[in-house]
This record gives sequence, C-alpha cells and structure tokens, in this order.
Amino acid sequence: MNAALIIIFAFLLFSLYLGLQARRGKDMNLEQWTVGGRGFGTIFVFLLMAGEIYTTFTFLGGSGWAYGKGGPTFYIIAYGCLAYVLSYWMLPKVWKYAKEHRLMSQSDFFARKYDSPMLGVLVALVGVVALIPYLVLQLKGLGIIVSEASYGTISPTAAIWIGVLAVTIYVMISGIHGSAWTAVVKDIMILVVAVFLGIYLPFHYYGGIQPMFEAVEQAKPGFLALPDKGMSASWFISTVLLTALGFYMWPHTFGSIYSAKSANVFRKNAIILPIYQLVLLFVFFVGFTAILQVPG
Amino acid sequence: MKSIRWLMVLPFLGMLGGIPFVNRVEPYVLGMPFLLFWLVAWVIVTSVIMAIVYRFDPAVKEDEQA
Repeated sequence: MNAALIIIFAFLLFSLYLGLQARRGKDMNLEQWTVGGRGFGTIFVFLLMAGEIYTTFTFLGGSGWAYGKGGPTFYIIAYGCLAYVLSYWMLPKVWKYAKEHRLMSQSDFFARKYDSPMLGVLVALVGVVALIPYLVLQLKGLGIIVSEASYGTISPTAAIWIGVLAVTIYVMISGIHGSAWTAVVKDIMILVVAVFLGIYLPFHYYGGIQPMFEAVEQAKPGFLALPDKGMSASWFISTVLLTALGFYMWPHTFGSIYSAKSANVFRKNAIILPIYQLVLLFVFFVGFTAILQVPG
Repeated sequence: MKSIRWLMVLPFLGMLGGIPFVNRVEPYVLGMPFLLFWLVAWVIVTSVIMAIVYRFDPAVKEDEQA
C-alpha cells in the first residue's frame, strides 16, 4: 500500500461520505431528488454547474489540445464565456417555466412547452444517445487518471468500476444533493491543483510563462495562433458560436437549471462563471510546457 | 433601462469579430501570446459587463420582489 493508494481511497471515501450525508435533513421525494426541491442558491448552483461543465475532458482534453493543437485550444475559453452571456437571458426563462409547471427533466420541458409528448420522447432519446459517448469519454479519463496516479496498481477498468459504483450509490440515495456536495470537493481540488501545476511547471522548466511560450514559438513558429487552413479564424468563429449556442443542451446541465431557487441565481452566475473559466489557462500552460519537455 | 442588455452583444463582437485581426503570437502581453491575451481580456470584460447589466436590469429587481 503506497501513499498514492491511501490518498486515492481517502478521497473516494470522503466524496462518498459527502454524497451520502447530503441527504440528511431532507424529506426525499422526487422533486427533492431530481431538482433539490428548487431551493439551491447562487453558490450551490455555481458549484453544481462548475462541477458539470469542468470535467475530465476539460482537464485532460484542455492540456492535451494545448500540447497537440496549440492556438485552436483557446476556443474553449471563448465558447464558455459566450455561453454564460446567453445564460443570462435564457436560463431565467427556462427556470420560470419549469417552476410554474413543476417540471423535472429536460424532456418534460419540450413535451410541455410544445404540447407534444412525442417531442419529449425524441428529446430524451437524443439526450441519452449523446450522453453515452460523453460518459465513455469521462470514464476513460477517470481510468487513465487513477491508473497513472496509482502508478499502475489500480487498473483503468478497476478504477472505472469503483468510480461508477460510488457515484451510483450516492446519487441513488441523495440525488442532486449528492452531486452538488461532491462537486464542492472536486471544484476546490481542481482549482488548487491546476493553478499550482500551471504555474510551477513553466517556472520550473523555463523560468516563467512568457519564456515558455517564447520557446514553443521558436521551436514551432505560429503554433500559438490559429493556422491559415483547417482550424483557422473562420473555424474558430463558427465553432465557438455553435458550441456556445448548444452549451445548455446537455440533459444534466439543462436539468440543473431547475434546481435554482430564483431567476437571479443565474444572472449572478453569469458574472462569476466567465472569470472562473480562467482556471483553464493554467491547464493550458501545463500542456504547452509539455510540448518541448515531453516531445512525441 | 432594459436596453442595458444590449451591452451583452459586445463580448460576441470582441471575441468572434475581433479574431481575424488578433490572430498572432506577438506581442506577448502579461506573458501570453497575443491571441490568448485578447481572449482572456474579453473574459474579464465580459464579467464586468454582466455585473453592469445585473446592476441596472429592471428584471433583476422584479424577480427580487417576487
């Protein structure tokens, strides 16, 4: 049993504990379980959304893109920011409608709003189909992270099974309260680790962030901007626009809108979330540092 | 002052419309390549804009009273 294993299991147990204790003091019914009784304030909705939006992809993918693709990576910062601007007027409207009609899920919204149960079914199907590759991606990421962090003692498959079991247990028992509470630990840890590595690595290898970028630019001229072909400026604009528009279409993100206690929760979050995005910068710095240090 | 919401168009213009003009590595600003700096600057401006909109949007007060 090495130190890494102890840390991994300690965090597993801690998040399981948080997820389970989240139920305490609540009369669990369907509305409590799915949408937290529509009682989450600004901070809880922030944590829940940050927990859902900044995922394994963001952290593995963000640094991976920086390493492999360079400049085009910056689109991640842009689309999130614009999506939060849209959220300012879109989310309060969705939330009000959902509260009025006591909706629980994304498909409820479409079925009710357009008075078509079939549309509801279609939305649910599309949501599930979209979630499958998304979940596979996240779980693959989890497997890689845990197996690397445990120096290979936990295989990716075992890590995925353990992770899925833990999540299933606390979500079955505490519902959305469990997700929100575990997001607290995750958000704090990610913030600390990403900021630390994003500053430490460039300073350790290059003596600073600008020297790191200059070295990359010297080795690969133009890598830190958008190329003329492929992921060009027009790719950037169209992809950012498309992704910003579709940002809240994920069933879980859409559903977490319902958990807020007032419409102003979203308007306040539209101020905080763009800034929170900047944690991605440090994730990018890690990827850019790796280009010349871990070539290939 | 519902028209204050029009401010929210600015991030779109800055982040998307500006791209063809700022797609370059140099000069470095605050240690970042220029394209990255431009986007980061707009993220911060966006946050400020949203705070201004929040402050003056009459819908915020209506919902507070409701």
